Amino acid sequence: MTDLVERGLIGGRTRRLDADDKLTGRARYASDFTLPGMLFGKIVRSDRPHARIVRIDTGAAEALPGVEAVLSGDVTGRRFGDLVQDQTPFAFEKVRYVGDPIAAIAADTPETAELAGRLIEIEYEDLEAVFDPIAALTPDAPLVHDDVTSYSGPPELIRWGNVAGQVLLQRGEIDGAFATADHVVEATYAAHSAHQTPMEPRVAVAEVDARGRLTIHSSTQGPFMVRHQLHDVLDMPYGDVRVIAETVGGGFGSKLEAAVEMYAAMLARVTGRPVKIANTREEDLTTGSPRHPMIMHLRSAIAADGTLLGRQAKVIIDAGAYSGPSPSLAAIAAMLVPGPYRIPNLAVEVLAVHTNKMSFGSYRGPTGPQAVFAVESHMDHIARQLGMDAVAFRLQNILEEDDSGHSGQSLSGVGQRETLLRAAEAIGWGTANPPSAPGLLRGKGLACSWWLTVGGGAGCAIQMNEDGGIVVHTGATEIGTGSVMAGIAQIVAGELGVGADDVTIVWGDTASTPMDAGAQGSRTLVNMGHAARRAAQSVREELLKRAAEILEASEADLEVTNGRVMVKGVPDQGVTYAELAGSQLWVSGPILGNGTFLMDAPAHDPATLIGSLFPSFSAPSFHCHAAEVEVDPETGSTRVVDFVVAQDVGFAVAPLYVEGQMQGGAVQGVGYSLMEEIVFDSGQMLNPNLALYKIPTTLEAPNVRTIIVEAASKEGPYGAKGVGEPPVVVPAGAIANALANAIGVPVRSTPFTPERVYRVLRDGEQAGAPSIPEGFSLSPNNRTGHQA
Amino acid sequence: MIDVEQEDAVAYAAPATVEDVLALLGSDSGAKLIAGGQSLFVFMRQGLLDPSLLIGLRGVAELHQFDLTEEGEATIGAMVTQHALACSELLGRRFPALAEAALAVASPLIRRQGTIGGNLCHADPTGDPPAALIALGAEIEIASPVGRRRVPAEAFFVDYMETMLAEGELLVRIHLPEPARQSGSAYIKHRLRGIDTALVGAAAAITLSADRDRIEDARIGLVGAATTPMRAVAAESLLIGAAPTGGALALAAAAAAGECEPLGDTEGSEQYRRDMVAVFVRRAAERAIGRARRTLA
Repeated sequence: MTDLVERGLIGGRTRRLDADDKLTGRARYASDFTLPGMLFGKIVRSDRPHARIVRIDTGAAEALPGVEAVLSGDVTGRRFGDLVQDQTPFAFEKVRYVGDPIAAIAADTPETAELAGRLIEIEYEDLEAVFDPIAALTPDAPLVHDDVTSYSGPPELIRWGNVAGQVLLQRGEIDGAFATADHVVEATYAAHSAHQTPMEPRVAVAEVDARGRLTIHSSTQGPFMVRHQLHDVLDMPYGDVRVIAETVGGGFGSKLEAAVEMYAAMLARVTGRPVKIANTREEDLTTGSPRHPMIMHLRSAIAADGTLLGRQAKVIIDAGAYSGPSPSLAAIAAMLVPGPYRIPNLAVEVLAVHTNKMSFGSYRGPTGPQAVFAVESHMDHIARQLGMDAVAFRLQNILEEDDSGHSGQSLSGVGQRETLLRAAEAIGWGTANPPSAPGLLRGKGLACSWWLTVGGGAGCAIQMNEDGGIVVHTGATEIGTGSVMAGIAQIVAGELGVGADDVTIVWGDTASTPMDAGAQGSRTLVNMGHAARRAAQSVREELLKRAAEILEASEADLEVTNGRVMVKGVPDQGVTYAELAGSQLWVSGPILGNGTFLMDAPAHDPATLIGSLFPSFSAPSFHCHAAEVEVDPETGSTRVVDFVVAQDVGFAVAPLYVEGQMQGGAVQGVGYSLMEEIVFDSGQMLNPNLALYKIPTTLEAPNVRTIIVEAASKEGPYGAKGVGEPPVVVPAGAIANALANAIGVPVRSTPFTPERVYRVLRDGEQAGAPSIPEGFSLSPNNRTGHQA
Repeated sequence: MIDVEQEDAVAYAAPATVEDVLALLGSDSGAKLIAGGQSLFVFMRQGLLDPSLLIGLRGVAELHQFDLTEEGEATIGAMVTQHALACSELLGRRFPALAEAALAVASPLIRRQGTIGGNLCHADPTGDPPAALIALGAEIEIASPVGRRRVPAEAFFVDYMETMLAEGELLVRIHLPEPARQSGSAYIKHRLRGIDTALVGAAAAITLSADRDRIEDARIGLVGAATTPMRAVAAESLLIGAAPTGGALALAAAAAAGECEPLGDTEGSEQYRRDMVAVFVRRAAERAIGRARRTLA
């Protein structure tokens, strides 16, 4: 390994293979597909948050010239869902959120499809709706689903009423910790929903062949997951469903599920013609799987010297209408509540709760930004209470090498101390900068977190061309991070001793590339990196075997470099790849290597967790972000003037793109902290366009300084850890603490809009605190099931 | 009931004179003018407007006239872009509130397409230039088939996104009166992002007495403060005759907050906007006074 790294390819600043196409506009996206005879699909959606469907009349829509198909009702008789089978393609008994699909139309033009959609008459009988997850937990709350336990799902899940999943994390003797504590600090925090807002909304173009087999060109970030859902809901063999991921114009978790793909597929099957569905921005914003609103109550027991003794927490996650990935994400939230700190005694309860809002889901680092905002605000709160420096307090409690994780896993590659020290140094911790104008307030803050690298199957096949060029087939998706087009390219090139430009990568096609579990959970490079490395090593073995015969040398005496196999130390005794591969077709046979990988989750102590689908953190990574903000106290406007990301990536295979992830995630985190917010009124999104839904522009993006820390993981190739999600997980915590430092008061709800900050400055801390209904217990339940 | 008729193609005309524009407007009650198109096409796309005829104004020479010299009044044709206004060094020196308001409009791309006339006729209550024009005492010249007339900027806006333009009328140009000696103006805006419309925008034009100890005249224009751009007359009256000090500014700012009637939305509540009107009136007036002080006696 060191050898390869030293040669500069693996770990080098190599340009990604798709850079030229993207920069020159040649990259082909799903929306670029126009097929002969193609129809345009439109999904008709509920405008009610909770209602019984009395009648659907599609007659006028069907009669409109140009309309080829109208689908509604229980069209497939089958259910689907990420974990729990709680969804049908169309709502036919009742709708559960504004945006629930009710019908789909295929027509000859997008305008005709749109018009036909308005002609469908739907008669509703409105039902009482519930929008607040705490209200949804009360015994007399309306039920979003009549009986959540009636849906099939993983056996670990604990569900009842409006609870889609309950997770308990319990360790040590919590009562004893609080009984012996010198200090007890507690507060409640609320974090809001934001949308992934990729530049490219979701798009699918579906076509059927003469045998009825489907091909779907999609904007997806997980073609095999989409295929799996289509197999489920359409009752088609996997082999009859081909999903091709085209260039992805950003996903961030919004393109994991079969959304538009399912409707395009059904319409293509019923019409026999290609069907394209391209979401408008409004459809993408209102029917996505955005970040969960969360309410978090934290209570910690601390010794006089600043040692954390115990923590209780209750976390309520608004799952929205359908459970999607929420029950498993609740398990991640549970692991984040103790943070990257040694806390021997824990009692954490996390509830994912249904409401009549759009389903919340997997937005990059799901539950992370919300949890880290609360946990790191709480850590600063404790430090203030104890009169300790925020960095010193953290250093005293952080996780170190060989410590035990919160569910008992043995930790290695713990880079927490280094990220904290280096971020603090970079931001100039302890020295204040003067404001840019009189009257403005400045403050610095930082936040730490740990995060996981999700596993899942990864497969890769590598073939050598006759001239020694390399073709990689991988089911991974290049979502834009560079993990495939730079990371995998560099690994393969490095392992085979060729340049990255000698590598061609074919990716993301369920019919022609080996399997992969999708671009999610910061997993691509760690998992596919191993598979690609193994495939490359298998090709190398074959090359050595063939070269050994030609060179009349032992394989052990050979090495590969610069497209040649040669005898170690004797550069003129060698054979080029072209010489070895040129005769493949008729004489020597193909040179082909395969590699697969499935990560083993670290062992944990089963007694610590109930209801968890993420019982330990694989290839855990450690982080510290530091921010400096400037606040106008008269208006509440907050600007991030400096931002530092110190990230323990284990090993940076493609550092250029690791830094790109760190910078992009930080800017996305600034947007979440200060401006991006889905505003709901009675379940309806009030700001469903990019004029009203505020994503940061270059004018709001701070200069992001990146610090790569490399504490090698046991699990990842070359020690790598997942990189993609953590950069967005930590900023809200750092900015919250910088803001509190600047204005002297913590703001306990996100986002930190001018108006919220202004109110806190004028009316005090309570103005920024979440309101919890009287009588609602913020103490974690220590048993499963319904609370009294 | 839903209108199921498919849309007809939109006709397009490109006249060269104001008279031709008026004739075309008179010929089709479904006609719409394209100045910069930055708001019109969004509304058409959203189905809020469905014109039968689009009249492009780019070829009408008179509307592009921009007459601004070192002294006297200035006139700005309806088709002058925000970019041209924002980049004019002379406008920035003589009518800084308008140059600042033009520069505060959206983004560079939109400022190069968007025009002052289009902005005024769109009458978005959170647009920027109207506040400056109200403070600067501008008049708006309107052409109709029966002749031309001039109206004060503050009278031009009658309701939410509605102007006093009658059917068949055209905004031709803006007249900016010569600023008094020892006067200064400024526009300051509160917004969420650099490209956003105003949460609140305030323009002030202040004239000081010869000894600079007294405010002789004050005009304040506000956007984001009501259903239309508005003039803050109560605030003005508290400034006129007062010493140009913090006390008078605070009183005027409070008066402006009292007389405005802001709308609440996802960007800010009614009460927050009201509070911000006070802050930005004070800041705009402070800056305008500072500029007035720096003028030569």
